[in-house]
Amino acid sequence: MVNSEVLLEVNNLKQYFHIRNNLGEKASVKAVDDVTFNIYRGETLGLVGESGSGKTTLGRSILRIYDLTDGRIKFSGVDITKLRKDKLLPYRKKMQYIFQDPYASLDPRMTVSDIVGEALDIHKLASSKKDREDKIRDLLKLVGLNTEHSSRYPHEFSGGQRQRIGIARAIAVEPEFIVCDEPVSALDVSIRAQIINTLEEMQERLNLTYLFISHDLGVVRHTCDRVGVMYLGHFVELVESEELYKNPLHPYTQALLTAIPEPDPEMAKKRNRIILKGEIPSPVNPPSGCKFRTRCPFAKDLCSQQIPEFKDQGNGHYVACHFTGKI
Amino acid sequence: MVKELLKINDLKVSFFTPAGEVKAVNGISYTLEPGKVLGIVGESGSGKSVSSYSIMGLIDKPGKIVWGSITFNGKDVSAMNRSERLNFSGNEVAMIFQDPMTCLNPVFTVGNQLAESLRHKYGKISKEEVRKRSIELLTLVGINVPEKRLSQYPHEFSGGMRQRAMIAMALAGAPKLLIADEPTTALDVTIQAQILELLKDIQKKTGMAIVLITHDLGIVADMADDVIVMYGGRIVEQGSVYSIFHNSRHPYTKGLIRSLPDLKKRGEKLIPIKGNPIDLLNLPKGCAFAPRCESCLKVCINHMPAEYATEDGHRTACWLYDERANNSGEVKNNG
Repeated sequence: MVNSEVLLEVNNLKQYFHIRNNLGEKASVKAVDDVTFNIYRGETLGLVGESGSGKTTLGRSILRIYDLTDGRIKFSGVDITKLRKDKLLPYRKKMQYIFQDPYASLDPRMTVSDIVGEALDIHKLASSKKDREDKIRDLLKLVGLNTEHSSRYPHEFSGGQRQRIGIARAIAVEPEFIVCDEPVSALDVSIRAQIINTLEEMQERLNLTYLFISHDLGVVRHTCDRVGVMYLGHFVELVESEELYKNPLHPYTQALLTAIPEPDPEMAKKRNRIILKGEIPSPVNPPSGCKFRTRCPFAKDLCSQQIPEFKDQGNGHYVACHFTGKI
Repeated sequence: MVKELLKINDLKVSFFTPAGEVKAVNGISYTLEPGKVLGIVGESGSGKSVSSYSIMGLIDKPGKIVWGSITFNGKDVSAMNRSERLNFSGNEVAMIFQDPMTCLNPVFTVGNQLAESLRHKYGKISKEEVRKRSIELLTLVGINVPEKRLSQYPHEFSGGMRQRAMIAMALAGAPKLLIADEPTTALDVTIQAQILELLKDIQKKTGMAIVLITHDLGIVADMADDVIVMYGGRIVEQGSVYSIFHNSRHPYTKGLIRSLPDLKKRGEKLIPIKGNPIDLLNLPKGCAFAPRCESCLKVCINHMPAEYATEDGHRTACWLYDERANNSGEVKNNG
């Protein structure tokens, strides 16, 4: 269910990381560079892009895992950009994270009930020991795990089951917003659909808002209401997902869409692929002007001189390209 | 007359671990004709990689080929002596792997490593000849400024470039068969598209056969002529790429294709395959897929299904296609 209430407002977010290059000189990695967008309550916003495009950094910055370099984040109208420790804790409860790798994101020395219970303890959500146990049991049941397994350790579970534990941990604190960072990429194909269904069920039942980070455009098409395409720290396109697949306007999106292998032999052999040349440039030393120009088949002089504005082309279809509609 | 290039007959590979015998490959047979692309699909633990490692002789302790034969170009691979074996791997069959960084040697330049492959093929050849051929190979796989790239180390290459370099090394021996084990899984989609195009292009130019191992049905649909679907160490279904995608018969293949989100719109529920992945230490007595199968029959639990072939060369290992089995009654599987 999507309505027009803005849950998260992100303005000119910049996240730079300071590093030293081979020569020991200071340099900065512009992981996310000047990004502005809204997330509406109840929607699933997809973030796609290649590795190094900044999608994970953006997800983490929104949760205030890093201190922002610049910009502002508002969560249901409250500016949380500068909040610290105690003040931030209530918002930590409202915003949760589901990780990509269910093998690395669960503490191998904690039992399932401790993993899920830890979240309850931090936010003091259980009134008694009995209440805590009941809550844990309900959560495990909710995500489709056997409640008798609550005293087991993560290594006793398969990848799909571990991801369910991760989901139980995230929803334990009754959040409003969850960043799902490639939640099914590490799983086998036959298990992916199970986890996607579980995530969608949770969204319906608990009225959750998702930021869904993925490089799999098939999964994104199915799960997301709107999709943002990132390239080298910038949004290049942001639009409702059906529209993105039907009418992609940015040349990068167009190439990305034709690059997905199509699970249909006739379609796969017929269609025209746009094969991009080269690879994503280093975020330490990005190209001038439009970041995509070095790989863009339509690049002209203007593209190297001026950064294209990320603007609405009508009905909420945002694109950052000098030649929108002309290519 | 088309002669088969590779013939695998009832191959069984087991790993003898402290926890017990893991039957990674449990009796598979297939043939591959020259110049064809065979896609092997399956999830982790299905035996798709192990079956191909056996062709290359890469199975080491505690693993062992316990049964079956591998015939390449009419020669039994297991009967080869050491020098034949050396010539076979690299010059007859070459392999590329998922993660190019772990396969390239970090302390030798790419040129060094290419030269090693070339000397393996041509024996003693001059430095100039090695250099000339190396540059040709790098150009063939689409690496720019090959002269400069030869003296660089693998860490100076990006992921896609490393995969290209590895393909160049595989091609150095001019193999008749290339085994590609998840060659693009570690790469981004745009780079994946580049590498797949490159493989297709090279296949057309050289006419070599490819065994392409992947979990991505999209890649198979794009690349393969024939497809093998594996589950729990066995082949559950094999046929041409068209019959596998448009006329799949095994419940596992059907389930896989149906569970793909690409075909479903937002709001429609996905139809997953229920249950958990297989435990290779405790394989079911009958069909390995039986515990997760929606149309499981009583006979499936205790008896291994035979292969049922249909006119177009499509083969399915499933009791549903045996007339006798249908009387044995259905079993309800509720995940």
